[in-house]
Parts: sequence; structure tokens; C-alpha cells
Amino acid sequence: MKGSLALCISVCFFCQGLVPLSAQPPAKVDTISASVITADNDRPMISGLTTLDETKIRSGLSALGVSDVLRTLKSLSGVASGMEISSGLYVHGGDGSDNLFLLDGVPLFQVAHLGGMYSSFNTDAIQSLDFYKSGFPPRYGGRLSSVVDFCSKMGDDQSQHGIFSLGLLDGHLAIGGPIIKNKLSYFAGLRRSWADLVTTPYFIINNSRGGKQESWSYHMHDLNLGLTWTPNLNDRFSVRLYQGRDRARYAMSVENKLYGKEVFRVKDSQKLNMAWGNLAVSSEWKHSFSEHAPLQVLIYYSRGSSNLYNGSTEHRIEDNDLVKHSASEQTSGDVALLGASIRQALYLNRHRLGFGADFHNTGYLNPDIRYYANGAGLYAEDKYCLDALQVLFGIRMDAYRYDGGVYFKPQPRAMVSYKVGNRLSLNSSFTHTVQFDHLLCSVFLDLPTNRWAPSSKELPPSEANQIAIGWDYNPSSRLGINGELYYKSMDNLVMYKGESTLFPPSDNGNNDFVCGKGRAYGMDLEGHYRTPRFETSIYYTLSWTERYYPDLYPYWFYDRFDNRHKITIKHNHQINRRVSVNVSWEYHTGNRVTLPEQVVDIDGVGIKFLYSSPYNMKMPDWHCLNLGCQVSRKTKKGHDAFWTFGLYNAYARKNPIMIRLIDSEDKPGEFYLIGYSLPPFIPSVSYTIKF
Amino acid sequence: MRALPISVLLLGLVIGCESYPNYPNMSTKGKLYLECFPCSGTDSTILTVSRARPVNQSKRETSWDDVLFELNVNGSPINWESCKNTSNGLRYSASTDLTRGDIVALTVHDSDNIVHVESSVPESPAFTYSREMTQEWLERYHIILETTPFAGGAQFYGAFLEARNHYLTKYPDGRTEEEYIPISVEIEISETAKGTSFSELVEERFHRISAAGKEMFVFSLGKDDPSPYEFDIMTASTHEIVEWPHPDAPTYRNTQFRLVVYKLNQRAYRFLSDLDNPVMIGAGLVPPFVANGNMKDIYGMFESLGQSSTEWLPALIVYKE
Repeated sequence: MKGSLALCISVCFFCQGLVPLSAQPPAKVDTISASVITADNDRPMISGLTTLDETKIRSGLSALGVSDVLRTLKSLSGVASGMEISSGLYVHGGDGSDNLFLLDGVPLFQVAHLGGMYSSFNTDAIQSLDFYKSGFPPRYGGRLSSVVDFCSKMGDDQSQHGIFSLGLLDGHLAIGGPIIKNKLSYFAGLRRSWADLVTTPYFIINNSRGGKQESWSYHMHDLNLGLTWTPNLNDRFSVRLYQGRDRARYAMSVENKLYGKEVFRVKDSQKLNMAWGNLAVSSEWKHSFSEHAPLQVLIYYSRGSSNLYNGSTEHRIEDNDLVKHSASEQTSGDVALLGASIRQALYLNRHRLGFGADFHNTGYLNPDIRYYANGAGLYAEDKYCLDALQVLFGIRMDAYRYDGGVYFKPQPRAMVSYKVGNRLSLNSSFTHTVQFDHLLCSVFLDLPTNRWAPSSKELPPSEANQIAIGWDYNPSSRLGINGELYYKSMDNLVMYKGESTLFPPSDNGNNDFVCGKGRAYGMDLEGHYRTPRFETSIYYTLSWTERYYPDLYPYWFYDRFDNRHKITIKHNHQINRRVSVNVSWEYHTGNRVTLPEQVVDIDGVGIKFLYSSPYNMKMPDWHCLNLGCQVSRKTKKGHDAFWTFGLYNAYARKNPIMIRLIDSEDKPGEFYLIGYSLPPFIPSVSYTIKF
Repeated sequence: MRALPISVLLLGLVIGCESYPNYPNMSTKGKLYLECFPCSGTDSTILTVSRARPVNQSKRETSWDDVLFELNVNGSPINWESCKNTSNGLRYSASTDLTRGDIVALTVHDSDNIVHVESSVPESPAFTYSREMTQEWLERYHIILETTPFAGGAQFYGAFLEARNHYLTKYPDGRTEEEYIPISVEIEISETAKGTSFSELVEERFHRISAAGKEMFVFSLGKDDPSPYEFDIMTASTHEIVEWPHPDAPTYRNTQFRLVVYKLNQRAYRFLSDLDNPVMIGAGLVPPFVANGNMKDIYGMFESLGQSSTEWLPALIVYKE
């Protein structure tokens, strides 16, 4: 079939992802051999909602040459870029640990690989995502700043399909298809880095010379598996598994001769093993009582885990005898979530009702201390449509039982949308959100030593109120401009104030964690111009982000990602049927760092660095140009194949990711700054074949 | 040689990754820096003052003409008794006899600012101790520190062993001459029951500090630590004849010690322990909890401490004929 079939999913907020089965493939489209399905999103109605489909996710920004969905989200307005080496999301003044990542409705805890350099989501396995940054529907709860709701791919129930890609850092393989046509289908996606396949032989060869034996390896993988059974038009059952894992190993051993009362031949050694990741298993049943009453039931288990082992063995001669000294530390921190949710929608004339419940039991499993908490959430919402005016109001009620008591937190949500003619719509939202899990970390990196902990008396739940006013203006079918003004206040934000260590306490009553406040406000703007041949998008953010921690500083201060201006310009151009190019330019005001302003010489001590306030300095503004090109061809067997070339930071801008103060050798006592950045010109290449 | 091309490449990459940003919004004027820790259980308070400078300026001569300090205890002014120039600033001393609950206040006037800060004298710590000679020259003090129950919060302490040499000369005619000279000795401090885990090995509990005429090891105790808390201080002592001013009159030297234990509040502990990691903070990798002190517009710390101490303890082995 030529042309396109538009499946308009614009019935209401809550039915995104809860569409009546009878309105869905496969049964009603089983005669269509090929079709392109496009969907209007709820953009005009919900402020701060962005929906990305598979194409947009694939053509998004990459991290180290690997297409990365969180990198793409970071380029949107309202999201601070964070550190260049990290894929953390900092939405409307958030701190990165306050985003709800849902993979087919299952919350994930570890969403980053390689210390945060790129995300755990395999773009081959993602069908679409909804990203909410201000107007959260009541069905979402548990995090403060954003919701990233991923919908993973299901296997085609008509024919087998697959995609294979090999890049500089990793390889991908995804396949899917019917097991029983129209009834049972599967999907499997695997991504694995292969740096260790290079380093392992290198170290084997290097160690064959004898002497010091050393080896280092790192790999990560993501595995997505799905099985979908559609016994009839009204029922669909799905079972899904996701597993993501990082593993880093270092080992060193050296043989020594020690002379005591005799000559001792000993082997000293050191080992470091780190592993972290996420496992999510879910089972879903979707049922349509009628086209106006879809039901979804989900049971899931999600476990974020991390393990670290560090050990060394050393021999010494003491009093002419050989003494063996061993030191080791093994630490692990898991968070296990067992939950279930049920959602029901009812479409009654002008009303779109939605209600549901979810329950979960969370275990925070640290070697020295374990916590368990039970949570339950109920929500109800009603969307009322009256011509140009649409109103959604609802409430979410969360109950959270921890070892020392119970918290009850009602969270009202309201959204209003009004269409002014055919080209302009105005919208506004108010949301109250609560977060019961706290990420206890002493270093701002996604490390396996970070710990999740439940709320307690000492660390009460974090809460946020956000109000947003937005608009969506489409003067023509090609041009669209939208934006919003927002103000968000946050309370009970947790920060570590203890010693600089990689091992934060896992005790949620620990005095080293303090609570503070935050506020963020600003304006997000987006503009798009689309033609069949090219698309240009501009994202601009004007923002202020502040924090108040009385234990740290007695006044409000600007937060580290208080980037006043942030601009992203993207241009995708289809040169011809075979070649497309994309260009993106990113800019943001420099991140803030804390650097000494003055120095003093103290008798008997030496020099001491002095600071005026936290995050007192702004780093140089950050900007870079990224180029990409995709060349497609047909293989001999008729499959589509692509060569993808990329060049990150094309004009070799030195954007410091960290700054140090260095003593001047020429003028002792004077200091200057030195910045360290990623290597300029990071090229990437990958080959992809679709079958 | 085979590694040379790789080394050159890596060096090139590293050099290519470095840049030299300007220091933005740098003040050109240095602020005052002072340290003062009034204590109960002692008869004097020391104030040290220095002049900080912007990090991109080298050290230069400083004038102190425009600086004035006022000390008050419970509203009554206390005069600074002596002032001397040190290599980096000024050092004042005042006679104070403080007890728990006294309000001590300091007002600083300089050409730009008037800064006022107050502090209440906290309770003094309670402890018992025993001591022994472990070797001929080595003394071990075993201290049992009474800690109040940890209700979720950490407690902060300091400990030190002040030392002085007692010189005694006995002449044949019965005359004696005595002299006491304060000395600095090497001290080691450790937990009595030492852990072996990696985190304990990398986390030093005791931090040696020197501030405003005081030296001590500061440490924090949390609810995972035993109560009472036991720790040991090891030091070397001397007991010998050092001189023969008269053929029949030797001068004996014995080292005497005084055990001092402090109770600090968290702010003072944080300031004194100097736990900041400028590299990590500068990289933006850790929260910016920096110990600048407790005074606005100037740097430094004015905070009262609770102090308990023993008398001067005679040497365990007294050298005598």
C-alpha cells in the first residue's frame, strides 16, 4: 500500500500506552503488506511532553559514536547538558537521580554504562518513548523531575526481521518475528561492547614476556527479550526481560624475591572487580472489555545491582620472617523491586476517565544494612473535552511504609489546554510530585558504589511543585514553534557532606547526608521546520537553578548545572536516496564549579585555599559541532545496509570537563587554571544491515 | 622503543586536551583570615590573623593599621594582652577563664567590614585514662572517652598530649634548680581495636591539625562506633642526665605530659580536619562542602571548644641517682 496510514492516538492523556486492543494491529491491518504509521502526539495538550519514535531516536545524538537516547533527550530544551562525559538527565533543575525511567512500565535503577558515559537503552530495541518534564499525568509517581517512558519493540507477527550493526565501540543485533503467525511473536535485542576483545589478547601477549602480569578488561551488554501472544482481538499477553550489565576487571601480580632467614619467592597481587547493572522481568496482560474500556495489568520485578571487590596481597620480611599482608573489601548494593499495577480507562462521551493502582515492595540490600519498604499508589483522573477547551485533573495518593513509620502523600495534578483557532493552542499544568527513594552518592558519577535508600525520619521524601504555562504555534504545516515557562520548587533534596570518598555510607540515618531545598525557573523554546527533504530543529533554554543547604552555606546559591542559556540546532538533510547528512551544534553556558578564590599562608600549616561560596565559578561556555553522514545501499541479497560516519566536535573546541588550580613554577605562590577536555575530533563509523 | 610512537601519540592527545581558562570575576583584594578557639579549662585564648590574597597574585607585604579586634565574654570586654608579628600575620593572646555556657564574642573591624561572631562554650568531654611504658622509651596512654548516646548524629572530638621537659639540677650544697621547657614530641594515635577492612584503611579517622596555638588530633564518632570509645596515644619520653654543670651536680631531664581532650561542634571539626579535596571539588565531582569558617566577608573560624585535661603527669620512669 502506498502512502501512509495515520493512526491518531489523541484521545486523551492516559490512554497513551493504553489504547484499546481492538484499535490496534494485527487483526485489522493484516491485509496491509507495508505501511507507515505516524501518530499525532499529545504535544498541544500536555505541557512538557516530547514523544520520540524509532526514527527520531536513531537519528538522535550519539555518545562516543554510539547512538544514545539519553544524549538525544539531553539536547531538548529544559534539560541541562550536565557533564560532557555523563549521560545524566538534569530536568528543570533536577539532580539526575529524580527521573523515572520506565521500560514497558517497569522502573529501572541503573540506566547508564561506563560511569554514565552512555545509556543502557539499546536503540534497536526501543520502539518509542514519551518524555515528560512538567505535566506529569497522575499515573506516574515516585520521582520528582521527569518521566521517561520507554516502549520496547515487539516482534512482527507476520515475518522475520532483523538488524545488525557493528561500530567502533560495540555491536548490536536485533531480531524479531512470528513463532505462530498472528498469534505468537518474539523479539530479541543484544548490544555488547567489544573493547575487552581487543584488550584481552593484548595483555595475553604482553604478559607472555614474563615479569609483571597485568590485565584490564571492560565490557557491557544489554539484552532485551520479548514474547507476545495475541489469542484474540481483545487480549494480548506479553513477557519481557531486560538485562544490562557492566563489568570491569583489573588484575596484577608480580613475583618477588625477598631475603630473610632464607630467600623467599613470593607473588604479590592486586585485584579489582566491578560489576553493576539492572535486571527487569515483566508480564503484561492487555484486555479490552470494549473499545471504550481498555485494561492493563502488569506484574514486574526489577533489580539494580552493583558489586565491587578490591583486594591485595603483599609479602614483607619482618624480623627475618616472611609475613603475608592481605587486605580486601567487598561491597555490594542492590535494590530489588517487586511490583504490580493495574490500569483501567473508560471513555464516556466527553469524559475520559482513568484510574488505577500500583503496589511495590522494595528491598534496599546493602551488605551492612538492609531496608525494606512497601509502597502503594492509587490514582484517578478525568479529562473533559469541550470543543477547544480540554481539562484534565486528577490526584495520585501514595502510601509508603518504611521501617520507622508510614508516609501518606497526596499529589494533585491538573492540566488545561485551550485551542485558539487552528494554529495556536495554550496549555498550563500544575503538578505535585513525591520521591521516596534517595540515591546516596558521594561522587557525581554513576558508580557501582552509589546506593539507593528509602526515606526515613532523617531523610524524608523529596517533594516538588511545578507550574508550567506553554504554547504550541503552527503557522504552517512545515513550521512549528512551542515553548513553556516553568517554575519548580523542591524540598528535602539529599546531599552528601562527608569526606571525599568513593564509599558513601549506606545508612539512611547517617549524619553525613543533609536535606536542602531547590528552585528552578525559566523558559523552554523549540522550533521545527520540516520539508520532505530536510528538517531543522532549534531548542533553546533560558534557566535558573538554585539550591539551599543551610549546612553547606547559609544562603541560596546557584547549582552546578545552572546553565543560563542552552541552544541546540539540528539539521537533517536527505541529499538523495542514498545519502543523508546531519549536523548539530550545541552550546550552553558553562557549568559551575567550586574553585578557591583566595589563598592564605598559615604559620606551621602552609597554604590553605579559601572559597567564597559553593559553585562560585563558571566554567568557559561549552559548544561543539557534530557531523554525521549515512550512506545506504542494497546488498546482493536485497537487504538495506548503511554506513554511518560521525565526527564529534568537528572544530576541535577544547571544552574543559574539569578544571584544576596549578601552582605557577615561574612565580611561586601564584596559581593559574588548567582545564582538561576530551580528545578533539572523535570520529566514529558503523555498519548496519537490515534484514 | 616500540612504545615510543604510542607514547608520543598519547602525549599529543593529553596536550591537545589541555587549555588555560581565565579566572573569572576575580577579586583583586585580599580578605582577612583568622583563627580563634576559646576553650574552657584553660586560662588564655589565642587569636591568629593573616591576610589572604587572590590565588592569581603572589605574596606581598601587608599593613595591619586598619585592623582592630574586640573580644567579649558574656558582654564584658577582654583586652588582648600581647601581640606579636609572625612570619605570616599577627598573634594575639588574652586571659580568659571560660566555663560551659559562656558566650564569647569577637568583633573584627577592618577598612571594608565589621564582622561580629558569637559562640557558646560547649560542655567539656569526660574521659579516664591509664598509661604504661611499653618499651624503655615508649609511653602508651589508653584513653576511655565517655560519649553520649549517638542519636543519629556524629560527635566530634580532639585529643593531644602536651609535652614539656623538666630539668632538675641538684648541687652538693643542697641547692636545686628547676626549669620547664615546652617541647614538641612525635605522637601516634590509633583506635584500640583496629579494623582491617579496606574502607577503614583508606579512611583516616584521626587528623592532626595546628590552629591558633593549639595542636590536636581531631576525629569524629558515629553511631557505629563503640560507646565509650577507646583509643591509644603513643609517644617517646626521655629520662636521662643531659649535663654536668658542676662535677658533682648532674642535670636530670625527664619528659612530662599533659593529656588534653577537646569536644568540638561539627563546624569546627569540619574546618579543622581540612577534609576538602580541592581536586575533586574543582572537577565538580563531589558536593562542594568547603570549610571556609563561620564569618561573613572574611575567612576563618571563631568557635568555642570544650576542654578537659589532666595535670602535668610526672614521667613514669624518673631518672635519678
